[in-house]
Amino acid sequence: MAEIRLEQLRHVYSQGTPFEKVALDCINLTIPSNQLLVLLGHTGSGKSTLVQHLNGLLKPTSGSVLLDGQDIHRSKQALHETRFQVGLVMQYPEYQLFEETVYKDIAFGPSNMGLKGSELEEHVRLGANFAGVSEELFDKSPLDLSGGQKRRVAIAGVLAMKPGILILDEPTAGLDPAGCDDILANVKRYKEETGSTVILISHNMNAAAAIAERIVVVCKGNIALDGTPDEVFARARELREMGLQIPDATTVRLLLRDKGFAMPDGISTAQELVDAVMALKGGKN
Amino acid sequence: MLKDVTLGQYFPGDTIVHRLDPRTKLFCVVLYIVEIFTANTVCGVLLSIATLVMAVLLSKTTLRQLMKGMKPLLFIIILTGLLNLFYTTGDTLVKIWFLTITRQGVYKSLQMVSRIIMLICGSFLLTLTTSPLSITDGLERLLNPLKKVGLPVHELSMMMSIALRFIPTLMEETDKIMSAQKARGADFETGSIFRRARALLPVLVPLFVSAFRRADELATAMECRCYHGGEGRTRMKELSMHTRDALCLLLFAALLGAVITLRVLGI
Repeated sequence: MAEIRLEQLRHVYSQGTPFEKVALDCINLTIPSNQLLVLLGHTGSGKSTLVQHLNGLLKPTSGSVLLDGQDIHRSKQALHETRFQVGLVMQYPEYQLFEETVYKDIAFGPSNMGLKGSELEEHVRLGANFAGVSEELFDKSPLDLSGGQKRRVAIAGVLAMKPGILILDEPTAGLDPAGCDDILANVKRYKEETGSTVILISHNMNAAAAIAERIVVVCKGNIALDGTPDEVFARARELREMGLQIPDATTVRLLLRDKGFAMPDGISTAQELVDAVMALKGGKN
Repeated sequence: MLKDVTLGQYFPGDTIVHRLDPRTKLFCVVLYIVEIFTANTVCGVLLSIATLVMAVLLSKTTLRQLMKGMKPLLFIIILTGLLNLFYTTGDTLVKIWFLTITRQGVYKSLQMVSRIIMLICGSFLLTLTTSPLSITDGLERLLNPLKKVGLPVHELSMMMSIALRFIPTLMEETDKIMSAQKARGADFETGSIFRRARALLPVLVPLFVSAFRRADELATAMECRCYHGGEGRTRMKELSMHTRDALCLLLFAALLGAVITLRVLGI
């Protein structure tokens, strides 16, 4: 489907004033299609700035963003099309809802694409379905919904554009655990059923470990670590130095190893931990 | 994009101008404005310009920052200059078709243009070197005597501080909502003026919803911390006058005196 590549990307906020701040220093990153990538990083590390470059909301100070090998800033038209191919769900997206009804709000994106009639309806239903918005809510005002429902409607609004690359900036922030799992499961389902790329910013290490195929750690505007969850979480000490947590299962593994148990590397989910402990027990018996 | 709009143009710094008490600065600006409008002789105008240059140098303000404040008013400055140049009667210097330039016209237009530029730079210097919050603080203290005639000075200044405090927040929020709608393909830049006005609706609705929510939350938070108006309220940062403030006020009063003398003497 779509491959996105960042070359020598650099972004400086308020250049030429006393408030100047280098948000991204020199980012080189290639994200192949149909990958589920999780971006980790401390608050203020530049994650959000990075993803806002991917759909052209921010223009790089220098460097380029290539979608399928072509610069997304080559023309106004190209930039407009990019917005539909690279769907971005911002932080706390529920604050962007504005229409009178849930249906109309979800339809905002696809109708900006120029869709009408049954095609539009099909897109709206698809978005609602993937985001877990039931059709009974379609005629309600988005302002009357609960926080979790609003979040889902906002995500549906982006999914309804059927983006080949879906970016979610902390989609689970402020939700209860059940709501978190639900949204992450839906995201995963979207990726698998449509073959899209998904880029997820998350602070929830357990969730990141459970669903990521690849993890990129951003620190002070640079890419600090890049690899599979096993590779990244194997470097627990570095992560802690960057002010990041590690998954609970990895913490337990490290504690057990300190106590002298022979624990294998690459444990980041609860299931892997259980398997390893069972194997250890089996070995002793 | 919206971050480039400077409303509170305050640039933090640590110069003597930054450290002056906001009340002193407010007073000095008033004195300076009187000075500018009193100065009608060459010497008087030159003295006013010298005062401004001194203040600019002391505050380490760059010419670029001052130009930024001047830009929106450039048209008015040029128009004033041209009108005064061509419409003042007196001894003709040059005559091009129906436009005549007189000696008095040249003099008057230079005087008017320099007046406007000094006025803008002077007041801009105040907002560049004083944070909006200390300006409102200073204003509150200066207006304090008006409490006796029933003017709710504290409430007014609290409203002003809150408004100033929330300008950046609302700007940031507008920026965020615009980004979110752009990410859904909203187009704010093309089309007729009506189309563009309509395109702002998806920004304005969430912005108002969140502004009301914020106001509500702020009121609750203030009540939780026992806010009950200005009566008996103490401050964390007490304003205090130092020797430098007295000197500064004296200097500006002396400059005004000098300009008045020059005017009376007609030099």
